[in-house]
Amino acid sequence: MTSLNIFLPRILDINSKACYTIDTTLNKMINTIFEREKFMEKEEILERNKNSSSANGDERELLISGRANIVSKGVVTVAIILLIVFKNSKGLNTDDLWGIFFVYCSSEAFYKYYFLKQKSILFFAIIFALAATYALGAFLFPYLGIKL
Amino acid sequence: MIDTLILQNRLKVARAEKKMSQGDLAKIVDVSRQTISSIETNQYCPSAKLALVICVALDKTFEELFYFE
Repeated sequence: MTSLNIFLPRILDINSKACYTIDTTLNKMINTIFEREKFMEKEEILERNKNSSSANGDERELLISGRANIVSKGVVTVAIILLIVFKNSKGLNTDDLWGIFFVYCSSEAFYKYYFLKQKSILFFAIIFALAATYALGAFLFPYLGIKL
Repeated sequence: MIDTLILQNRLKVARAEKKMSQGDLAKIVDVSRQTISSIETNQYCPSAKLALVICVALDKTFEELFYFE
């Protein structure tokens, strides 16, 4: 655009007034094109926002849902630990509860790793997955008639 | 005492200038009325996208609506 400003009057060096008019008109046209590319109209922004918001939902509600998940995770963890303590005190098998707990932890860690790509998270995800496999296997194998 | 950076806004004033209710603005920017109310009372800090959409809806620049305190 700048180069056009500099060279156009020189190329059309017939009449300076005519050159100025052509140059100004051309620049106006170019500016209009660029402005349209840079900025959307208000109505277009609001319309497109409605389309994207409808797909994703209210962002504050999503935030609250995320926080609710954190709270529920804490409550479920406490409940599982209490049940494990209770079953242990009664001499019952607690592998099923450990299995559920480790499946929960490993799935969360794998999800985090998928987005955060931190090796420490992957390490814990694998450890939890192995622990879950062991605990669920230890619980299910006797019912399936498999001896380890 | 720890000084924290808080994003304040003049949303209520700007909305009043446009003679819009919270419900009207919520409908335009496609969020719930409670979300608009939470932003006005600084209980919720909107995302950059929502903040800019609100600015567009109220014909204000970002700096006119939002500021740090």
